[in-house]
Amino acid sequence: MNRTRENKQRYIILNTYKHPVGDRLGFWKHYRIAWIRHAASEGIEPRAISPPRKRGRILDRLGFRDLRPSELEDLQRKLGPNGIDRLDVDVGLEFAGIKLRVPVYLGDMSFGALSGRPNIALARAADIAGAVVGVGEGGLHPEVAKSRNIVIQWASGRFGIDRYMIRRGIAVNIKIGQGAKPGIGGHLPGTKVVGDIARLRKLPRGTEALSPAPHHDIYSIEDLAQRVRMLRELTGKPVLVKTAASHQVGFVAVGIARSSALGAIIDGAGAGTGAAPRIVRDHIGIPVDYAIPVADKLLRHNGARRGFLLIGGGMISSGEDIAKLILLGANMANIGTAALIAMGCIMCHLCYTGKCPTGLTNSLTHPLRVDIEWATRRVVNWLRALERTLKLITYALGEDKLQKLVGRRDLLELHNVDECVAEAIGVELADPGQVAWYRDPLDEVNVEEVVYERAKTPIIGMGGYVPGYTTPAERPIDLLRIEAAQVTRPSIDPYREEISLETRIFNGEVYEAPITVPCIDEALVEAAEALGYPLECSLMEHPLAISVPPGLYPPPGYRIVIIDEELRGKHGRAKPWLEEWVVRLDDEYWRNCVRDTVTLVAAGQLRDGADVYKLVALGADLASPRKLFNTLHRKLSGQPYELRREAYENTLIELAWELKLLMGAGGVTSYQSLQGNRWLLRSLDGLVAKSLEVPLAGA
Amino acid sequence: MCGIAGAISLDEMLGFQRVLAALRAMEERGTEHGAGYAAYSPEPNGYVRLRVFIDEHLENPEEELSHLVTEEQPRRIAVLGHGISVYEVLLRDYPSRQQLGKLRVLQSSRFLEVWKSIGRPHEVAESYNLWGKVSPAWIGHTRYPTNSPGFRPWLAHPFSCGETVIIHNGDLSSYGSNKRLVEYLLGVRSFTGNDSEVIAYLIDMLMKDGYNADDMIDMLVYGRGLRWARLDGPYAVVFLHGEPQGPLLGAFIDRHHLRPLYVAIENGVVYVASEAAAIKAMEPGARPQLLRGDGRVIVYPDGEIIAKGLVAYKVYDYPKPPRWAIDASGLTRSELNAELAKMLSERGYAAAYNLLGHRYVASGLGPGKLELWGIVGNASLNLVEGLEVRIYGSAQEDLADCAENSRIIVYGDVGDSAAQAMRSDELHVLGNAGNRLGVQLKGGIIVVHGDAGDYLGEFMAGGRILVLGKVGKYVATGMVGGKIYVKGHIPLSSVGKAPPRRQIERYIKALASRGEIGQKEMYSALRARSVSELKSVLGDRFRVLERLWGVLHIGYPHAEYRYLRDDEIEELKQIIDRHNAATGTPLDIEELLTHRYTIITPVKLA
Repeated sequence: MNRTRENKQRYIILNTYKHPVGDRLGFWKHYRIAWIRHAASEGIEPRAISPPRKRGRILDRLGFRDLRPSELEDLQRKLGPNGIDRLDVDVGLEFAGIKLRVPVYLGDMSFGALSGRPNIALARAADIAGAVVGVGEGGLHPEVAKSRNIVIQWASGRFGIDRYMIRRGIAVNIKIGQGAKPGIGGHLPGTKVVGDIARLRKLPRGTEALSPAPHHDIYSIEDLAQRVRMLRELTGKPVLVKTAASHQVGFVAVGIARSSALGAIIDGAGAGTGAAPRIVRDHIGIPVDYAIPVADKLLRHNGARRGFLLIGGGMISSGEDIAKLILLGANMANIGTAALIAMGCIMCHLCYTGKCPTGLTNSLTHPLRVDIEWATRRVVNWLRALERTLKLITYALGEDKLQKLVGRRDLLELHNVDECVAEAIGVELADPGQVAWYRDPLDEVNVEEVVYERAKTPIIGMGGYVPGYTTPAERPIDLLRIEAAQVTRPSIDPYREEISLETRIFNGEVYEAPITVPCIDEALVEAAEALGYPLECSLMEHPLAISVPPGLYPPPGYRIVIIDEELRGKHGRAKPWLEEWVVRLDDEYWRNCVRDTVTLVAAGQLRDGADVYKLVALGADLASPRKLFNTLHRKLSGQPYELRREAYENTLIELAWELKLLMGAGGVTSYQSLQGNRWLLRSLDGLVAKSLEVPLAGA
Repeated sequence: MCGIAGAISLDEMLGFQRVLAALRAMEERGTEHGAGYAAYSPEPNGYVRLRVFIDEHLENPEEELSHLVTEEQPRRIAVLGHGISVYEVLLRDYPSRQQLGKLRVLQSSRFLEVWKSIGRPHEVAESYNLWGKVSPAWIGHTRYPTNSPGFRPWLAHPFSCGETVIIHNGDLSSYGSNKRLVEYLLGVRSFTGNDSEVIAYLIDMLMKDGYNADDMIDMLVYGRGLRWARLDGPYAVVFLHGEPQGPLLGAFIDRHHLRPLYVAIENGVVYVASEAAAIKAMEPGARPQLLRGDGRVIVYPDGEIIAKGLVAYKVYDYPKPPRWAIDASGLTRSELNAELAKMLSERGYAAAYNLLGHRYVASGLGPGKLELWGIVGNASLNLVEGLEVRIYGSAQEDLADCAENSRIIVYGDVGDSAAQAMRSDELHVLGNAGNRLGVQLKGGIIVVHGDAGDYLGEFMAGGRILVLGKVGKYVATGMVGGKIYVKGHIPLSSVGKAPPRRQIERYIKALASRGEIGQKEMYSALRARSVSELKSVLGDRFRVLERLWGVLHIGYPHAEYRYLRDDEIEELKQIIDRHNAATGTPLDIEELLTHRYTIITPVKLA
């Protein structure tokens, strides 16, 4: 580390890797960080391909039918980096009139999200290594503007955009959404809008920089098409559209292809971000390995694939991932997080605080600075390593151009998924299994202090976390993904637009949220009453109320039915699951034409707003997140009454915000349209899809 | 998705060409992946026309339809290609749900005819040979598919159910809930997967239940009455309902105006369309009016017209275009824009007339002077710089996005999201404005003579907006900078976005019952109409209530209804001076300054 002076301010130049924190529960575990660092240092990845795994992403469960990992390892050792370079194999492609050496689009990280120097390093590295970089929404940094392979972003906040800047890149990218937070807007606090950031964003100093959740001129596909054509005609450059992988991603991709766009960037669940509400990051959108094959198939089916670029992103970490993604149907990979790791990211999730310990996302006044030279070299090395892996795989598959392998799903085989998933993805099933894998639930919920101390939605930076996919699930509902509104309808910002949680049950009682509260603490009861949430004990006072465990039908005539998981004993994780029984009873009441005369309450080991959303969408009228309240009850025991009540109130308010954020992201504005709306859910697992009567992701 | 149009006449027959002209004017909204029409056309002998799609490669029409008791053999009425044809049989009564089974039904009605297929609007008309056909009521749809494939004719619009036929521009987020209701209440088992279909079922069901069209629309838009019938997400719907006395035409849009719809009532004919230009295409003399969020128009068979949310139309005296001006009527948008760019660069002054919804007009151009006559299409004057523009007519959606140092004067209405992220100088609208005028305005001034829609000045970060007419709801939500003047009083509940009133009141009462505030404070708090009033009544205790808003620390709009202060008089004088200088239709400054205004500024919670 060097200590120097610049502008009379002390700062520290970083040019080494720090010890990684890693993502214990998520995707970016230590070994992946080590892998990328190895590649960024040596210019070659440790191995080209690995054997398919039993667990994890679809990409991890995919194998190359005709390639043996050991053979490739031998070949890699025999050829060495120079030998691989000499192979007569082309893994690049033509992109907006420029020939790229690697099929990599370095994801749109703005100046502001990153602290400037990393933006410069990425842009320089892209030019040197033959990749392309998206500049994000924060205006165009003058040093970045010197690079050639840059793509200018047209985002909802319009920061810094003018008719000159929009023409400065090789293409324009209309950003509709991103995988980490589909349908959620952005907010750069006024305290950070200073100096160069304010100037380049063309904002008065100190203004809160708000990016609306949707583009307020793009509420539909025809609006998008109009914007694509307008920008194309105005700039004379090709236009890309970046969207998060929502349920209808295939049709959205076809719509984009028909709009005269050059390509679509499809960002899957688990993608990185500087800041996102945790609840949104963890539950909305589908992973890229479900989205890409479906989009590719539909594009071909509709005759819209030729000349169209499909770019997939979200937890892409190695050359092998890119190769598989291309075989699944993409042309390129969109990578952000891995590039940051190559520049030293340690995955500490503090991006949004402005105090990044690796000098990547810290605020301009923070003393840490990443060394541009060093960072550029790392990214170049790492891109070279990806190029070499891709060359090796292409060569081993007997092809001279990687782009000829786009959509060759027949060269892959899938392990340990069910038939429905294999069919949706369109890859032959080598050995059947299940996507979902479970672990015993933790005794406690991890409630963050911000929830009950300040009623704030927990925010997190980076990380790839998709329950039941990158991480073991606890219950089948963990495998359900929530719909995001992308392109075809606008998402709704619950803080600025109306989302009604007004819940009216069969007897005309009106509540402020469909969140039922267990009567375990007097302070909690008072909190719920002040806010107008239903109480379990009051519901049970109704003469026609009954509580049944999952698996038992209530006798006919009961009007309030609480399906109570805990009636089976403390560890009653036996089948049927709570969620299965909600679906069964909901259907039963519909069939008997009495659905609107019954109130169905799901009570059990539910933790957060996402659980409530999913159970209500599956068919419950109300849901009781007991696990959260039990944890809180234990945590707060011994505290004074007033303090407990306030903590409970904060939690109840926060739960409603979570629910509204999730609904708004999918363009749902009222509880009425959420209840029983299984169309808003998609399952990552075929068996779960069947048992919960929810469509499969991508299908 | 898509472009929609409709027309109904109270006393004459309308030719098919009209609705086709509307769809052709909206070519940009559609693709070659589907179009369709429906008209009021009673079967002469009172039979029910059942029309179905048959895939002749796989199915035999006689066999498929054999279980229906008909007097004649199935008749093929159109060949759509790829082996798919449309067959018609005449029935004495409506077929039951069981009889229809899995048939792909185009229609089964006595009073309506429906035609649809893949292809552009004129190609579909060709397939069914609609030339020369007349009817008192027409609807038409051009499709841009996004939720189901674009190569199946039965996925094109309109969708019909019994005597109801609908066209829809939108994407329902409530589809799953609506579908369940239809599935169980009507016993429908087979869905095409297109969300729009459920609207036809819901409307037909509610109309059969005896609701009148106005009440029925209330149920769909607000969720009153029947649970699970509420439509959510964006929609603009036009429907025809066939009744023995004549056609009923209705049009309605969602609460947030997420899809546009224009209406004109002209010489006993009511026109509706997604774009003002399409209405002009149907009737060049028509005066298209904006339909606001949750607005509706219903024309009953007896001639009664119900309209809600229609913006008033004003007539202006326009100067004549100069002789050298470009006639846009024969030009595509690219040709027009190339001509304008050339004129601007050569002489710094360009003019064009007969604009009919041409898009992106002059986007990215400047500096210079530009004059336009007609209807300026979507996304025009975006990213302009140093341009002085006069529009003698109206502008559709997304005018002047990211405009800088440009002065734009519109002698007519502007559509939604005008002056989005505009950074400097001026926009003057002599007519009315749509929703989200000045959304994320960063600087400059906007003056509107008429009314403005919902979400005026949303996310506004700088600049000034002056509205002399009325404004809609949710004014200045997310406002963090700048200032809005609205002449006269607006309800404080229209400013910003608040949690449900009931919840606030409930919590204030809880505060009182806990003894945290006194009885007197409670009543003052219950009477408070805005964040600021609540804050001043509750003082420190407001902290707990604030959580229900969630983002007051970022900024929220604060409104006051009062006479102008000296500095504001000075500021408004300047704005009106600039307005008068720009428009040449002077406002009476002295008179305007005597009024009271609702003044909206952002404040932050400390």
